[in-house]
Amino acid sequence: MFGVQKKKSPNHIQRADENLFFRGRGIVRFRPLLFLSLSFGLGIFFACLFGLIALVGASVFLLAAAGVLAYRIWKKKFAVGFLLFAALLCLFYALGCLSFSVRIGAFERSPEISGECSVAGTVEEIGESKEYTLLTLGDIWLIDGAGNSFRPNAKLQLYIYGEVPAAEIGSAAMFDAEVQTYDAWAYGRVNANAVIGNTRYRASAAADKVVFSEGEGVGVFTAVRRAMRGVLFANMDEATASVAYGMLTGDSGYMDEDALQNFRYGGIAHIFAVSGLHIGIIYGLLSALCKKCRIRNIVRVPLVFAALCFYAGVCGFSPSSVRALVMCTVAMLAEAGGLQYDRVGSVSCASLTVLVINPVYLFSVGFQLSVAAAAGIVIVGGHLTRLLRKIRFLPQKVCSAVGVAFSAQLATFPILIDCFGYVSGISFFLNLVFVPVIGAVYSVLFCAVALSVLLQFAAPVFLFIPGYLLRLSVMPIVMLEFKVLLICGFSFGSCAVLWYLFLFFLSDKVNLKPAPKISFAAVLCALLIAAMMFQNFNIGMESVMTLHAYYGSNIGLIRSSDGDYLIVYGEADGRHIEQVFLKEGITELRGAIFLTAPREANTGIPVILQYAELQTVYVPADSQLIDSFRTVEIRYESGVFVFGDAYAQFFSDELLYLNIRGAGIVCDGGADEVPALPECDLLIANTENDAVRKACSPRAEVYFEKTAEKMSVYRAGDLQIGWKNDIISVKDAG
Amino acid sequence: MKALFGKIALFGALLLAAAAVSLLPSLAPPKAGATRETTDAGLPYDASYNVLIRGDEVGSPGVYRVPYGCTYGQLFALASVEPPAGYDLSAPVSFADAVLVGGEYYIYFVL
Repeated sequence: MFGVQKKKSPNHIQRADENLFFRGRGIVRFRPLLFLSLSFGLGIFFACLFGLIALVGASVFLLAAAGVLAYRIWKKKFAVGFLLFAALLCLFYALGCLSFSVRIGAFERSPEISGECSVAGTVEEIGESKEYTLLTLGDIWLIDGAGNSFRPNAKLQLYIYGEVPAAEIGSAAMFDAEVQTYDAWAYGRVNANAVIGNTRYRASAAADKVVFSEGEGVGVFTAVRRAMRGVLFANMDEATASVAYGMLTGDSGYMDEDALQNFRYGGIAHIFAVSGLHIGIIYGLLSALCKKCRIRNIVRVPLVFAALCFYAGVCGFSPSSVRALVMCTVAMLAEAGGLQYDRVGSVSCASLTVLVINPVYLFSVGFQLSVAAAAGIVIVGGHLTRLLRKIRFLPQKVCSAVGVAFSAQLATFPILIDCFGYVSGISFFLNLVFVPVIGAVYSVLFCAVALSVLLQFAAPVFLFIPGYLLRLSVMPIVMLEFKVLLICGFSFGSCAVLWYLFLFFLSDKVNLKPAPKISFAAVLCALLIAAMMFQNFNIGMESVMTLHAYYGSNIGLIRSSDGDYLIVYGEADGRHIEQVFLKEGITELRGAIFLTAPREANTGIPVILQYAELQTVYVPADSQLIDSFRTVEIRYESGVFVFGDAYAQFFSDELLYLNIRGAGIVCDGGADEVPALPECDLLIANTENDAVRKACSPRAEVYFEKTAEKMSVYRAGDLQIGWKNDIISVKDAG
Repeated sequence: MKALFGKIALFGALLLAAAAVSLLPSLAPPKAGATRETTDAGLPYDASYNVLIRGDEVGSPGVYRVPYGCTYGQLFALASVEPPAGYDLSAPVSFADAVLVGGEYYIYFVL
């Protein structure tokens, strides 16, 4: 008890693989940092799902710990250490819960403001891109249309369109504009960027409508970015300079959107997120330089750390750069201190550091991808590399490169599918071939740009070769079309947990014998397949309609027996439409209806045609829409007509009645004049409209935009409406 | 022993620092409720519609409330009428012939 061990007989020989299921001491090696960071992350996650009541979940830890403790006492193993660690796990879990709840509470403490306001604020950050200048204003003062004055403890993002006189940090900006409020939860996910930056409000204004006072000058990081941008665009062509600037700072705002999208389709857009690749290269260069100059560790470590910190600051302290910075620092300290460097511990420490700084990072796609890729390489990559090395004809470097690239792909797969709707089928090949090349070019480019910023008169000389190399290396990416090689049409949702469990199980971090390992892996695989089928196929539903929205781009999809049909309620946004079509696997639409004015329908049809074939657009008989599309039939309908498995009738340009399996649905795209309508079971509309509601007396309502106390896509994310056994079910589609 | 206490003190200080960094910057009461919002609702509905059937050959003319999916054969049997030519008796009654009257849809059959 408490550390007293059973006496062994003198003739007893302990075999290392005595256990039926595993070899050695246990199934999984004890990794304290990993467990602590997991418990902190779990606390954050459950606080998001359940609120402060999630603190009760700590009792689950305690119950489990009590059970294990009893077992260890029974087996006469050391228990005090285990007890202490269990308490520590509970503490970290509780800390994660509390920190998340406090951050969200602080964000939501600032009042909701909307409408035309007079705004004054101090410029704290400046972001520049080709299309607009983005200012982050702090210390803001708003006066709304009713004369109410607000001084919230939050920031406002101001998008300025047009030529902006050089705004400076510390200057005051004054303007009148329509102000919108960001919520902590919108469209089915945490609004991570807004909460992390405490950016509660947003507004847009033309450049000539904003008045600036004198400021203190730009901050040092902004000054460095401006200097880098200056030397690059002065000494390279615009396309190459924008790629170089994106790679060096993580800011791809100056790149051509089509070129950037091709990088995304190729699965290599991560070169524009400053992370392990970039920080690792700079760390290697600086370490080599310090070793060459024989600088001692006591000077080298803080010097390199300061340089990496500064670089992360130039890149805006993005979560990927902070994660990479922490991992490099841990490696550096371990090397300097003569300690063994544990990569799993390092990734865990880096993730925990970022989450402690701001727990909302857990919901940031950039953080998720960064940690998943690093964890995948560390947990699966090594094992995969060792397996590949058993193939005799494969060189070791190739095995290592394949192992790293493939493990990163596997680990980021569910996140990419769920967030962007697709994964590039050629991504593995491009990451294997292209990324090492771009890494080499980056190292040369970084040195050249650093020297160019310091010695601007010699910039043309320094940047000539790197510019040429960069242009050559990105040429295949820019010229080739990668959109044809996309894996899409499904989503993981909560099945991602099973995917990661499966990967972890197959890695060498789980110390099981082959037979039990294969058995459990087969069970996990079967569970994953079953769960994915349940997630992605509408099993049991007689009819299904899905609703999708993103800041005004509101659409409904009806999956019929003869194909897919689309109803557009608002202004179709190309990026949103593309993401939905990729996620839902839609390449062809049998029919579409635009519940908008004819002018919006006229501009919306080409947007849809960019991403799917469209056979027929249905419009009211008296519609002003002109039939000018060669590949699309415009059908003018009066009375009831067939729309897939449904029946439909127009009541105006913006009002449509649907009958789906006997249920009446009124679809409102924002009607100003409301004629007499039939009673309906369900009303689907952009926003609340009392006139429409009175006219059709719906038994239930679903809205796209923010609506108090009603079902909305804004709150719950994409919705699935299903029909079965004379019941309409409305639930989250995710 | 000294080294152990040193490590414990260092760990404790790191823990306090982590707690301070994660909790203090906001200085606001925590949000008690869940941040995530979900939707899960079920709505039973009356999947039936009105059919008005009349004509000289109709045995029982009038308005019938038939369930969704009612076939032409079932409808004609209900109205005691000999099925006219041109109708697939096993096919469900099409809503495409419906007309809105007084806020309700009716499918008219005049035989």
